[in-house]
Order: sequence, then structure tokens, then C-alpha cells
Amino acid sequence: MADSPRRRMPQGTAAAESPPDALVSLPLDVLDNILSRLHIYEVVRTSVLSRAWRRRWEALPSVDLARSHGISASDVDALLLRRSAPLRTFRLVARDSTWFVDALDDWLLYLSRNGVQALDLSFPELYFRLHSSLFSCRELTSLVLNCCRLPPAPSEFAGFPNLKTLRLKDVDVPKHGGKVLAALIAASPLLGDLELMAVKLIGDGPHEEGQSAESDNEYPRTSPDAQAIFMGRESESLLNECSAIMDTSTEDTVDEVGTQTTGNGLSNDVAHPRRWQRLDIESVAQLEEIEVTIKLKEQLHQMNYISWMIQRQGFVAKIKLEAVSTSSIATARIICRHQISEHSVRRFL
Amino acid sequence: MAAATDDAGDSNEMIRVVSSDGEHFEMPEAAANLSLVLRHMIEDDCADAAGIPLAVVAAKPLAKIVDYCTKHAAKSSGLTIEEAEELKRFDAEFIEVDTDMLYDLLVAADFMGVEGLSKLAVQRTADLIKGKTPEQNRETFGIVNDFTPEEEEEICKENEWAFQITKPPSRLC
Repeated sequence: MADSPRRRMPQGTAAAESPPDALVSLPLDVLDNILSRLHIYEVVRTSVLSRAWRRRWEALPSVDLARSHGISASDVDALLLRRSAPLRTFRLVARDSTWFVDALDDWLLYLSRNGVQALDLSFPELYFRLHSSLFSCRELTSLVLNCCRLPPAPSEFAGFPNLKTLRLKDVDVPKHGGKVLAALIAASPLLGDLELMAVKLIGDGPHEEGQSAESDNEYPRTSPDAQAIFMGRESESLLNECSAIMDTSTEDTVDEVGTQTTGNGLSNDVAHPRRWQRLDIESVAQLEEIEVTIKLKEQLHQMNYISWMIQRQGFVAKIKLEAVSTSSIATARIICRHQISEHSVRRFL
Repeated sequence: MAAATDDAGDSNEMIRVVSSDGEHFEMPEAAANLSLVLRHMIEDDCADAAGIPLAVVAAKPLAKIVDYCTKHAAKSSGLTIEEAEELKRFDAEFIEVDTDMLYDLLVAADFMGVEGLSKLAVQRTADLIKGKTPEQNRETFGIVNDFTPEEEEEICKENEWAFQITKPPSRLC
């Protein structure tokens, strides 16, 4: 109990600090989790509680602005400036389209330089184009974007080596959209959870195929396997080697496709057996990865819903695509190589 | 023994756990599986008759956690709307605890990796802080104000943007 008589300390006793209370002494992640559920003003106002609290908020690993109605861009500036520890998680839900994109660029630059690991950004309108410093966030493990445009990847982009979760919803990927996305996915060797909803891949038409050699140079990749995917684009031999192939080019819409590889290496897809080829478990074992090729037919603007899961031995990938549209042809090749615990499997199932 | 043994869930096997102060508890395996730490111990065959020792969890919070897990394990899959409502009511009552127990639950649920309980306790704590003045928060959580009035004022001034309660709506996001 805080008793009021004791709370006014005589002047000049700056060193007289009370022992930290139980709340401020909670494990950092627990306290972070609690304060992330508050309005950012309330988080900052904890600084006035006591000396132990004064700089506590500045060192929290997360800045979660999803519940911070009424904040302005200058508030975000102020709070980022006050931070004293690396920022692990940044979550922003912008509700006002008058926010300046400039401010956002600065924040993204700040985040990329402070080793942000989880980035979750939502915007009210599609015209918010993210700054290319997004691609400098090398520490990212989770990237969740809602309603914005991806910048072109800079030539030196070498992937997100730790990215495990990628969720894009209402996102435009301009200029070689399919390739940008494919390169991003290919260069993220740990990616195990991919969700694309209403993603527009712009300008990835067949007339650009001739530039593939240049484009390949544009997006260096981390793994030789990923390299193979790009070098062997559209080739039959590559397709045959794929552990699992899904070709939707003959279908205008696909409602829901679920498959599970069984022990004998055959895929079970009762509804559309011809779209699935026999899985070559041996080559899978060599590659230690599951690859899914999605082809979208020209003019196919809506892929209603595809959600499938691939489970093989210990390797599990969860992929969900919804209403992905392209300006022409897009080929997204997805490599998922991630060992997910049995717990996750149960949850996904 | 504080374990509730009705509704054993899928598994009939009982898992024994021991609190830091040496008290023994029992719960169905399905309930223990809600704790990441216990599940890993069970998978590694560390669950024996002597019980799994939980060095940092005292008997009082452990009894609560066993209750929580037992209740939730019994009603984990295929919930009807009524059952979901009932579980919600259970949670709401369950977390009506004093701050000492709340801290214990926060730390223990975090340590044992009981995700649902962690969320519940964290949200409860956030709800206690929400919308309160600093003075109210000090009172709720037993925080002693060791600032001089001048210092307090200075801090408010330093972070003026966050201490202004009302902001012009034109700058809203």
C-alpha cells in the first residue's frame, strides 16, 4: 500500500530510492506484455510512479501502438527518441491518412538500425509506400503488413536470414512484383509461416521474362537451392524435381486445397488429384525443403482461397494465400524450410 | 492435493508436480500438456511417481494453475457456445485475485509456459492500470512515490506529450 504521508520526500534526498515494487520487478517480457496492452500515453505516464519506474518504459522491448488512439506522428518521434534499449517489436496501426509518409520513413530507418525483430504495420490506405530501409531490417523474424506498398528491393538486399513469419494483406508489390516476392521468400531460409491475402503483384508479365538474367542479379540469394529455383524457371526438369507441385493454371478459382503427404510419399488431394504430382521423398530429403509452385493464369485476378498445409516428417509449412492477384502472369515459388514443433502442428491442424 | 480430478480429458494418466515448498499436486496429462514446460518434461519421460519439481512455483499459485489447466484441458476442443461462455465466466472469476496472487500467477504462468493463463493474467493487470491516475495506480500496486513534487513535475514536463489528456482531434491517427 502506498501511504501518502511517506510519499513526499524531503528535498535534496535524491539518492533515497524506495525498493522497487513487485510490478516493476516482474520479468521484463511479462511487464512488456502488460504495458503493450495499454495506450502509449499510459505507458509513458508510468514514468511518474516512482524512481524505479522513471526510465522503465524507455527500455521495454516493444512499442505497440495498436491501442494508441489519438496519437500524432510527433508523439511517435518523441517516444522513439527517448528509447534506451534495442527495439524488438514495433506495431503501428495508422488510422489517419494525413500522416506524413516522411515521418514513417524516419521510423523505419530508426527501426532498421535498432535491430527490430517483429514489425507489424497497418495503414488506412494503400498509397503508403514503405521506405526501402525495410530491407535493411536484417534481424526480422516476423513481418506483418496491412494495406501498403512494398518498395523495390535494393540491389544489395540479401534476404531476411531469420524471418519465420511473413503475412501480407492488401499489399501491392510493384515492379517485378512476383520476382520481388519470390526473391524475398527464397532468401528467407527459415520462413515457415506465410500468409498472402489480397496481394497484388504488379508488372511481372511475360514480356519481362527476357530480363530474368538481370533480375537474378538484382536479388542475390542466400541459399544455393534458392538459386536453383530462379535459374531453372519454368523448366520441366525443375518442376519434376519439386517435392510438391501445385498448378492452378487450369482453374479459375480454387476453393480450398488441403494436402498431407503420407508416409509413402503420395499426396492426398481427393478433390483435384490431377493437380498434384507424386512427391519425390528422396529429393525432398536431399533438399530438406518443401517447395510449392503456384502459377496464376493470365487475367486471373482472384484466387478465392487456397490454404494448404504440407506435413512431412518433421518439416511443416503453413501457407495461406487468399485473393492474390496479378497484373498478368506471376509465378511465386515458395520455399519453406522450417522445423516447427509438434505443438504448432496440432494448432494448425 | 488440490487437483480437480473430474473431466480427465483424453488421457487418464495423472501427472504429479511438486511446488517449490514441497507440496504435491496431481492433474490429468491433458491438463499438464497445457504447460509447455510440463509437456516437454512428459515427452522426455521425466514425469514419474515422485512428481515434476517446479522450483520457482509455490503451492498457492500452483494450486490455482492446476485448477486452471484441469478446467481448460477438459474443455479444450469442440466447444459449444455455451461451454465457451462457461469457460469465459470461469476465467473471469478465476482471475479475480489480489495483486500478490496476480504477480505469482504472472510469473508462474510465464515460467511454466501456460499461454492462456499468461494472457489472462497479463490482460487483468493491464485492465487494472488502464484509465487510472498515477496515484490510483500507486495505491493498487503498492508503489511508493519516492519523487519530490518538483521532480514529479519535471517528469511530467519532460514527457508533456503523453501527459496531456486531451489532444486536438485534428492530429488524431
